[in-house]
This record gives sequence, C-alpha cells and structure tokens, in this order.
Amino acid sequence: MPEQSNDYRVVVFGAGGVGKSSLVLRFVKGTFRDTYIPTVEDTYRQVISCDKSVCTLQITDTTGSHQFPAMQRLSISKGHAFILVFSITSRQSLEELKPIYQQVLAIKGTVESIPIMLVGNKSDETAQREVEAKEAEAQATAWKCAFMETSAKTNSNVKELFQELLSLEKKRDMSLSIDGKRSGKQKRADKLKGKCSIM
Amino acid sequence: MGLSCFKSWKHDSTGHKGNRDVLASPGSYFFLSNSAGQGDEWLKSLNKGVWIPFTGVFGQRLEETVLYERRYGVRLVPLVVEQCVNFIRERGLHEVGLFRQPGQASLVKELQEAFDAGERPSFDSSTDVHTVASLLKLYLRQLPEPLVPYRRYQDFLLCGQKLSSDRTLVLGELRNLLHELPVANFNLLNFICQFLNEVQSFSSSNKMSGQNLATVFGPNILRAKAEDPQSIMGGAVLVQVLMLELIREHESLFAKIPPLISARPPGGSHASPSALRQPHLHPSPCLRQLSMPLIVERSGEPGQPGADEQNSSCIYTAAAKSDVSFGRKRLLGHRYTSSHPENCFYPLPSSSQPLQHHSDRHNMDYHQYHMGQGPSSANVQASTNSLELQDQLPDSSKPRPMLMGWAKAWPGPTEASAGFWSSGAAEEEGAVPRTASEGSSEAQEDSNLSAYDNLDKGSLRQRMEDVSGGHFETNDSGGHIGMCEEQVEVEEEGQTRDSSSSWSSCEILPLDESSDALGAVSPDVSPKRLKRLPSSQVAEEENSDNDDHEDNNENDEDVDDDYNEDDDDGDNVHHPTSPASCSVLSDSPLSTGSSEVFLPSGPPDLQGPEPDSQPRDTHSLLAELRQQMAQQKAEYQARIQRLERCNDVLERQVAVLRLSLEQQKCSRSVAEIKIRNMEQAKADADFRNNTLQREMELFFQMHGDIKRRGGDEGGRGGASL
Repeated sequence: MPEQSNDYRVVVFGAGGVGKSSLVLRFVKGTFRDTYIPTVEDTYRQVISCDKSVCTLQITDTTGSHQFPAMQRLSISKGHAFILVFSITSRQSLEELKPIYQQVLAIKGTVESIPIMLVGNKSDETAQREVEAKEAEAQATAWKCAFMETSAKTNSNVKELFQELLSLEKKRDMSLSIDGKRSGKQKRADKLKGKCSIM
Repeated sequence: MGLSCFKSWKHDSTGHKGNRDVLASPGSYFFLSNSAGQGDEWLKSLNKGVWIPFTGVFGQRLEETVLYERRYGVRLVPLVVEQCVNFIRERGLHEVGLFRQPGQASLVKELQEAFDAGERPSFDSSTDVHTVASLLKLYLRQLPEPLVPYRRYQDFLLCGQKLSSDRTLVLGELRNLLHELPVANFNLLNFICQFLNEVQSFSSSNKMSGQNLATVFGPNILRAKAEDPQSIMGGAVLVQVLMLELIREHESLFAKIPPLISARPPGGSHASPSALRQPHLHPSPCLRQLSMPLIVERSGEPGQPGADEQNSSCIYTAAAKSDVSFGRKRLLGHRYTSSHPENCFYPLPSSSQPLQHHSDRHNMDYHQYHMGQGPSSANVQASTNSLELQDQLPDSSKPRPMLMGWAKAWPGPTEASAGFWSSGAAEEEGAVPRTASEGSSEAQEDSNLSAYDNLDKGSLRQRMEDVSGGHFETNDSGGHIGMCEEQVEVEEEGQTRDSSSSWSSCEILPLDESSDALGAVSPDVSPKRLKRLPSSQVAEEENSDNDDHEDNNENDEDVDDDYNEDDDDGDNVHHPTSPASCSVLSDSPLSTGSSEVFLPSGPPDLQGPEPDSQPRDTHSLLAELRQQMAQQKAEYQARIQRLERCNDVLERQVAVLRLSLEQQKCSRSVAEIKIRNMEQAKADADFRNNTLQREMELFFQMHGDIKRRGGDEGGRGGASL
C-alpha cells in the first residue's frame, strides 16, 4: 500500500467493551448509542487542518475482544498516533493495555516521538469506579504518555482528547478546526467491502 | 546392539528431552544408547508407537488432546473446554459482556500453564467468569489448526457468501460441510455452538446476542491460514455471518439426522438416478449413525462409561445393521485414524457419480451408495460378474419396493407381470433340472452369468409359454393370473433370493446394451423407465376404461329400471357384483383374480332367484341376461385389451431379453473361439514339447555315443601307452 503522506492515522486500542467505538463515534458523528455491539474493525475518516493545509485524519477502531497478532502489528506499524482506552470501571481493562503498549514499543522502537494517549473512559460511572485517576496517571507517566478521563456517554473530554493527541504530534502542526469547514466523512466498512472483493 | 534395558529408579535426563513426566515417574524404563542420536531415534519411535506423550493442552492438536484424555473417560471435548463451559454455565451466563470483556490476563496465563502441566486447576467462586471465558477463547485460538481446518476455510466462506441468496439450500450445504469435519473438531464445534446458543438465550441480561457472540467468537473458530490483514479483514464479515448461523441454527446444523426438506437439494437439478431412488433414502439417517460411531455414541450419551464399552457398542451398532455388513474393521480402525469416516468410507462405485454433482451432494449420495440398494450400485457391482454376498443382501430387499411401485402405478396387469416374474423365478428352479447342462442353483447365486444362462434358455421359454397362454386362452387366463397371484403371495417370502437374481440380471441387461440401444438413458434408470412409463399409461387408460365400463353398466341398469320397476331384488343381486368388481379391480390389484373367479359364478347366483320370479317377467329376465352378457363381453374385452397391453410390455421385455441373449451368444462364441485358440496353442505347445524331448533324447544318445567312443579311444590310447 503506498504511503499517503496526507493521512494521519490514529489507532484506538483497548479491551473489549471499554468504549472505543463509543468514543470514536462520539467524536466523528457526535452521537452515542447505548447498544452493545462488539467491533471487528472500523475505520473513520475526517478532514482536519494540517500544516496550514488539510489532511485526512484516519481513525481505526480496533477490536478488543480477540487479538489477531498480525492485525495488531499492522495497525501499530501503520499508525502515527495511538489512543489506549480502558474503562475506569474495570481494572482488568487497564491491565489489558500493557501488552499492547509493549507491542507498540517493540514495533516503533521508541515512544518518545509518538503521540500516545491513555484514556480512562466511562468517567460518568463513578459508582463502579475501579481505577483511580491517580493510578492511571502514574501508569501514564511510566509510559511517557498523556492521560485523560473521558465519557463518550456524556460527551466529556472527547473532542479534547483528539485535540490533545494531535497537539502531541511535533512533526506536523495539526488542528481539528479547519475554519468551520469541518466535514465528517464516514467511510465505515468501505475498507472492509473493498477487501471482500479481493477475495 | 548396545541396548541395555533395565528398571531405573533414578532420574536421568541425558538424551531425553521433553518427557519429564515419563521419566519422573518411578519405575520407568531406562534405555541406554551408544550415541545421543541413536537415543533420540529410539525416543522418537517410542513416542510414536508406545504412548502419547503429554506435552500440554494449549497449542496441542485437538485430536491428540482428546485421545490423550481418553484415559480419564470418554469425553466429547477436551477437559479444559468442558471445565470452562461448565463453570460459565454455572456462574456466568448472566455476566454482561461474556466472552467480550477480558479476563485477568495474569490469571489466564496461570491457568493455561497449570493445564499445560497436566494439572486440573479448579475454578472457585473467586475466579472471574471473564477469565475463564478468556481461557476458553485462548484455547481455541491456540489450536495449531482452528476448529474449521484451514483447508476447509474457503469452503465455509463460500457458504457464508451464498447464505444471503438461498438460505435453506446453503444451510444444507453448511451442514454437509460441518459433518465432513474431523470427528474431534465436529464434536468440539458442536459443543461450543450449543453452549453459545445457550449463552445467547440470556442476551437480555448478558447483552451478548447471537450476533455479538458471533463477532467475538467467529475469528477464534474460523480463520485463514494466511495471517495477513487482507485475508483476515476480508473474511471477517463472512466469518461473523457464518458463526451466527452456527449458533442460531445449531440444532439443525449439527443434528445427526438431516432435516430432509432443508438438506435435500431440489431433486430436479440432479441426475435422475438419485431422484428415482427416493424410497431408498429413508434408511440413510441410521446409516449416517452407523458411519459415525464416535459422534453418535459420544454426543448421544455423554455419560457413557469406559472406552471398552464404547468399542463393544460400536460393534453392536454395526452388527445390528449387519445387512450392510461392510467394513466393520474399518469402522473400528477409523477411530484411531483421525480422518473422517466418510473419507475412508466412500465406496468405490460411488466415487464417479457424486463427482458430477456438487460437492454438497456427497453426503446424500454417500448414503445411497452405502446402502447398496441403489440400482446403479447393484449394477456396477453386478457387472463385475461376482456378486458378493454383501451385495446380494441389500439386493434381496430391492424387488419388493419395486414391485410395490409397480402395483401402484399399474393396477391391472401387475398381477400378470408380478406373476410373470415370480413364476419365472419359481420356474427358474424348475428349469434348472430340466436343462441339466445349465449349472446348479448354487452357481446361480454366485454369478450372474449362470443366471443369465438359465434365463436365456430355460425360463425364457417358460415365460414365453406363460405369456402366450395368458394371451390366447382368455378364460383360462383369469385362473392363470389368479395362480400367479397366489404365487406372488406365497413366494413373496421365498422370492428374495431367486427373484433377486432374476431382477439383478434383468437390470444388468440395459447396462450391457447401454451403448447401443438405450444410450440416452442412464443405465440404471432405463429398465425402470421402460417398464414404468408404459405401465402408468396403461393404468390411466385402464382407469378410464373402467369408468366407461361402469358408466355403461349404469346406463344399462337405468334402462333396466325403466323396464321393470318392481325388480328391485334382481337389481340388488347384480348391483353389488358388477360395480364392486370394477371398482375393486381398479383399486387393489389383488382382487382382480377374485372378481374374475366369481364372475363366472355370477350367473348361477342369479339363476337362484330365477325360478321364483319366473312367472313375473321373462322379458326382464331376458334383458337381464342380455345385459349380463353385454357386461361380460365388455369385461372380457377389457381383459383382452389389458392382456394385450400386458403382452406388449412383455414383448418389449422379451425383446430386451432376446437382445441380451444375442449378446450372450456373441460373447459365448467369442469365448469358444478363445477356447479353441487356447486349445490350439496348447496342442502346439505339446507338439513342440514332444519335439524338444525327442531332440533331447537324440542329443543324449549322441552324447553318450561320443563319450563311449572317447572312452574307448582313451582306453585304447592308454593301452597303447
């Protein structure tokens, strides 16, 4: 696949059911669905401003329930930035991120110049909280990445999360706003279909 | 050889790798080899032949695990799976995100290691359901080959692709695909899908609908060998669709007995042989059971004890259906070969035909062929000229259904023809002693050729006589037919062997001449076609004839009624006889004879009341008699027509038989010529032999002469010296 320099690829990782899709959907479409549907893999595209021009922000929503090592490796090697999502209601989901982080580290060699966000989702569900913000922050420091708590349900910190992620990218100057010309283009499952026809 | 074998109490690991549990046990045998390489070789062969080394559960081949765990009792699925499922069933069915949310990775790893070390860690109340679910998924994921083997992956995907077009058809296909899986895989997949179906039923509380479970579980069960993203993502959607069907349609897909309606493809799309063999389809489900002893027993009674009993019960099932007494050894052998029963069970004759069909038809065809009842298989086997007993047995059951079919399609002449066949069969025996040179009846059983001979010369003549007799002597024919009927009834029991030989020989005929006469029709169909088509026509015509006949009768009677209104008694007398005989005639073949038997005796019956009513009206009597005569005439005409038609059919059969006779004669002359040639060759060889012997004698004589002369000369020389 030829490298499209115009694309900025963000990959969302996390255990099953932590709200990866909800976060992405909230960001891309501004909606929240209370359904419970596991994802195979979806890719969303959005136009953002980049170096006084525009480029495509490509968000890959991965599957959390089962790992294909090959798929994971590919996503990591092609990704420019990563969002590691866990649910504050599940300590286990934070644990699940550790091997993924290790994988990113192994493939990228270093995480110094790579924007990574550790995200504690479901911040609205305080009653079921299992992971304190402090713990997660400590983890983020250990991983040399940023941390943020979000809630896709209440739309808290979602846009900020992506804004922050883009600001972490030092090689390019990127911003979500493109002079009000924000057009969310969802090409969900297009990729899948295209590949189906290959078979 | 340097092999010293003694009991060792010490643990010595030199040259022994990865067998710690074997060596660790006290009293293990210790083999001392000269070199390390030799030792490794020994170890390899030991591992292969003597025991199955326990090298863990995760990442091991499923079959090996199942085989290994036999020692703990007969199980459908590996212990780890069973344990996980039981635990989840007990505690976790209501857990939100079951199989979606992750378990404790560290604990999963611990459990995995414990299982791999041969332990059986127990899950207690503190164990997280998601951990156990993760363990289960991990096990499936780590199988060296997924539950749907790589080589089958594409077939399944194709199935998934077609699912949207014709669901029932494709589900049948999918079912066949599933049943072609290796036994261990089938069992585990069955087990898991059943469980997932259960999980899905709690989706209101656990939020894991069939769709969700399919998404989460599908890739663990169906995955491509190539781990490139293209193939993974390409198949992902179809995998999900397929998995959903596996869960949702679990019961029908994994059922042992195929749902006939959904599984059977539309009959019209296939070659006629299979369509014509519908009656033989019914026994197939049990056969399926027979052919898959492992699945049947184990899925049927999970709690069934001991492997030994399993063996014996397998023998029992095989023996119970001993009419297919076929490869029992292979059956047993199969359980140690991992291949699917069907792979080793395809009988050779079938292999050519199902190949023409779509692969999904294999199962059905397989059933049919396995039964050995299909006419074509009988033909194929018969054409080898050596009908083995096992073929004969299914054969013997064949004539009956076919006769039944005849009876249905062909009410009138059936008796005649059935009588024809049975009488032919009966007289075959009689013909044998009459034409003593034809060979004994034993030969008849053994080979078809002798049956042919009998047919051609002895019984054929007999049959011709029968037919001609039946044709010309109409009065007698009734009795004759009746007799034939009785023969049918009596000999229906004894018919099996004799008529089976005659039947099979008859069916072979078209096979022999399929090249010239009946090229268009497939060999095994042609005989039936030949007979059935005309027969059904005859039946229709006959029915209409009967109707007409009845109409005539009624008209006549109406006229009668007009003439004599008082004559109720007389009407009562013959009303029952004529229409009843007619209707019975068309309904059941057996009553024809009876109607013909008591019709002649009808007039005497009517004569009985005659004296009483003599003064009343002679006209009415006359009319009655006339009418009766007309009736009889019509009946006789109908019978004549029927017999003529019957005759036509029989003539056609005779023609077929003649053709075969000709062919047989041809082959006989060929054989005679060959024999003559052989004899000639033998004579030549004898002659040459004699000549050689004479030459040799001559030679030895000369040799002796020369020697003697030489000796004489030497003696003379010595004397001179």
